[in-house]
Order: sequence, then structure tokens, then C-alpha cells
Amino acid sequence: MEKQNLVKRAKCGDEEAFVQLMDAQTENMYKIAKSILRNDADAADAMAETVLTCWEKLGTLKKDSYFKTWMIRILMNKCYDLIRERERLLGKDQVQEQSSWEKGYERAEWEMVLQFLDEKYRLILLLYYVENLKIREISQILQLPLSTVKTRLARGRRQLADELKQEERREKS
Amino acid sequence: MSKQENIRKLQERTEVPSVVREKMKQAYDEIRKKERAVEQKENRVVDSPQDRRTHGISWKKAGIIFVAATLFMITVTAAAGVYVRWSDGLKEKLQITEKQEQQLEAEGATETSGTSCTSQGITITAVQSITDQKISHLAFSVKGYTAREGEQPAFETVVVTVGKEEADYAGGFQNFGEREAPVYVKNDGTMEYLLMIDQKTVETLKGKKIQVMFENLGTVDSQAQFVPDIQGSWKLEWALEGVEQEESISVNQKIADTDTTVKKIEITPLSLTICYDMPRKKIIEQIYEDEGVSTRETYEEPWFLYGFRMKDGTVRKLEFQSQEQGYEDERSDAYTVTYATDQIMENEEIAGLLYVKPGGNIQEPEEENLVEIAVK
Repeated sequence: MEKQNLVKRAKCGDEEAFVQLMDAQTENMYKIAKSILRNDADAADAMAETVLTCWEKLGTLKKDSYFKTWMIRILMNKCYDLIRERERLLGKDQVQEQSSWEKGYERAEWEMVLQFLDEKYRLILLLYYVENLKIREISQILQLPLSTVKTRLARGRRQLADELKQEERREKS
Repeated sequence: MSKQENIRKLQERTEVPSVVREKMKQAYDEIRKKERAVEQKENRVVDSPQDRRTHGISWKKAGIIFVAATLFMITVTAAAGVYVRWSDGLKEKLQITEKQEQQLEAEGATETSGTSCTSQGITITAVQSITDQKISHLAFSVKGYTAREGEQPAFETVVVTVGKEEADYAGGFQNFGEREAPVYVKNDGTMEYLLMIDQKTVETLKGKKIQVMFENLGTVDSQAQFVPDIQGSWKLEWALEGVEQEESISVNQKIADTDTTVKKIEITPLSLTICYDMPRKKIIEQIYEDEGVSTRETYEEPWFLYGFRMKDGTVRKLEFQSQEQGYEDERSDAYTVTYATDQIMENEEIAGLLYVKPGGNIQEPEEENLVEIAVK
């Protein structure tokens, strides 16, 4: 069933259509949440909050075709809300220390790739290559000028290539 | 390792950890729970008796009201005493009297589900249904959208599903004015959309889960083309309440000097079925197509049913909303015609069926062109 049809049905209160719609997004939502929060438990909280908010606010979505970018924006806000809440409770320094990639955890290859990247490039590469969003859409989600998104995308790719070369050199030596 | 390879790694499928899946499941369960609570609350809503008012509608459509005798054999059911919000459109369309309102309510033939859906600031509510085993008439209130004066409102798509099957239906916004000067908006600012379902794939409509999906609202232009205005979809779902009543009357009479016999008639509150024994007579029918005139072989149909002769001697014309007819199988001479009536049927006052002789005016036949078949 087409995504927009599911959005239509969900907007009319069909919760099973909504579950189907969100379920199809779970994997990509997880990648985004994990790239921001860097641990599964927080990613799970942010994603669950996103599900509830999307359901509650779905009626405000102007165009069905905007669903994906709208949902990602909500997810990112939830992630940043969580970080702010932690900072308020624990202090910024402690949160930054904790927010390094989970230790003792066998990371998937996509996570290994992401950890090479600066935070500001990480999301842009994910949204571009994983979510297949257009540069214009990424600029709307991140509220950044188009030129900034293009620049960061290019620099992110370059950083990825540089880091990989260094990694290979390290492995050889 | 190339850059492309790393991008591929970013895109590769990943296993979502159980802690995430569990949290998502909890969120979905919470939504389902909330929805169940809302549905239960909506199903408990009943209108006050004060809401059962008329709105000063034009009642100029001539009509005949038949109430099935079975409607008078009122048995108090669980539905008795539940107030139903009567649709102005349905009352006008089916020419329903106050007495009939009470009878239909007492029998549980009609209900107000109250199910509603809001999208784009427009709320559609299932106001009322009148259902028997064969036919269901539904009325929906549309709030938040007003067609401009003189324009006919319409939905671009309406999909009706009964059980798991898509159902045949006829539907449209009710015109409360005249044909030449239509009025679609009522005094309270709402409009009414009426649907008639004729579902043949289920034994009975009573108790069946129904889903009505409306998509995109707009108007119909002079070329009968849909002109979109509001993009949106509204889905309503509930279980149809109704009655299963049918009276079968044995007739066994030939129509005039033909070899067609009216075997019996079957009457439900919203339908009439006539069963004939009609030996097949092949005819060649001309079909007018773009490429020219072609012919096909078919069978003669029964004479045109004009209406009923009532016991007081008056003639009552019937206007049917749909008609389905044909031989029961390839070999048999048993031919059945089922009509969805636009009135509640009352068979105790019927004295006979009135057919129009071939060649007679089927709209306003002369008395000498009518052939009567006594039914009692």
C-alpha cells in the first residue's frame, strides 16, 4: 500500500494504518536517533515519543507528501529535547562525556562509518543517503540554508574519505 | 575501502534492538488503547429528544408511503428506547412519517452511530442508518464545508466496504430545495450526504462492519466533471444495526394473456422482489455504439411494473432507486426482479401489482393500459 494512502487513512483515525506507516520507518528512525543520542535506550525513548506526537498532531500535517520530513523533524526535536533535559539534570559536561558512542557494544558497520564524522556532517549524510531526502528537504528539516547543506554534504563526504584513508593506514601499520 | 562502499554501509539494513522495538510497541499499544476508549465513548453518545426536530424543509416531492405490515408487529428489542438522530435528508428521501420514525426506532431498524472523522477542518459524521437484510440507507452530516450557491457539492471518491467486500452504492449530497434552485446547506450550516447500499455478497447487512471512505471534496461543474476544492480523506467505520424482516406473498397469476406468471412477491422494509415463471423468448436487440449499430441476442423482460393498486382503489406509483433482474440460472425459467424502493414498504394495504401493457406510457399510463395482478 502506498505511503500517502496510509497517511490519509491514519489522518482519519485508522490507527493500524498509522502503525504500518511508522513501522516502515522504524529502521531509519533508529539510525537518526542513534546518530544523535548514541545509545539505544535514549533512541528508544525519543522514537516512542515521536510515535505518540505524530499520532496526536497528524491532523495538522498540511500535505500527506510532507509526512516523512515532518516526522523526521519531530524525531530530531525529541532527541534534542532529551539531550537538553539530561543537561539540565546532570550538567552539560557530564552529558557530553556520556554521549560518546556506547562502549563495549558491537557496533554495526553503519555506526562505525558515522563515528568517523563530525556531528554536523553526520545527520546530513544520513538524511541524504539513508532517508534519500533532497537537499531542499534537508535544508527545511535542519533549518539551514541550501548552500550550507550542500557544503556540509561535500565536506562530510571528504571527511569520510580522509578518515577511511587514515583508518586503512592505521590498520596497515 | 571506497567512499561508495561506506555509503553503502550507511544504507545497509540494520537490526533494530529489542529495547527500541519494545518501546515502539508500547507507544502503538497506547494509541490503540486511546482509540478504543474514544470509540466506546462515541458509541455511547445518544441524542436528546429535543434534537429530533425538523428544519422546515421543502417537502414538495410527491410520494407514497408504504409501511411493511411487519413493521407494526413491534417487538421491543434492545434498541427500543434509544433516541435516534433523524436525518432530514433520509426523512425526505424515504417520505418517512413521525409514526414510521417511532416504529423503525422501536424495531432497531435505524441507528445513529455518531462515528465521525475530522480532516482539513471538515467533520463528517454518520448521522443515521436504516438497514434491512438487503438494503441500507445511510446519512452523513458534513460540517465545515459549504458549497457556493448554485453549485452541487460532491466527493471525488467514495469507497464503501461491507465486511471485507467493496459494496455497490448510490450516493450524493441531498438537495433540500428544488431541482432548478438547489439548496444543499441546511439552516444549521451543515450538508447531508446520503448513500444507499445494495450488498449482494452478504446474506444480511444487519450487524455487518461497514467502512465508508470519502476522498476530496469539491463541486460538480456543468459538464458533470468534479472540480476539486479540499484535498482530504475521511474514514468512518462501525457495525450496522438493522432488522431482518421479509414477508413472502404467494401470487401465482399470469400477466394478462402472456405466459409469464407472477409466482410470489417478497417484501422487506426497503425492498421488493418479484419472482416470475417466464419461459425464455429470444429477441434481437440493437445496440448503438460509436462505430455504428450492432445487434445482440437476449431475452424478453417482464412487463414494466408501474406501482400498486391500493385497497382503497387508488393507484400508487413506485419510484425505484435500483433494480436488479435476470434468470436465476442458464436453464431455468425462474426470473427475479429486486427493486430498492424509495419508500418504506407497507404490504397490508396493497391490493394488486400494476403493469403497463407494451407500448403504453410508462410514466403516466392510461387506465386501460394498466394490467392488474391481485396479490391477496
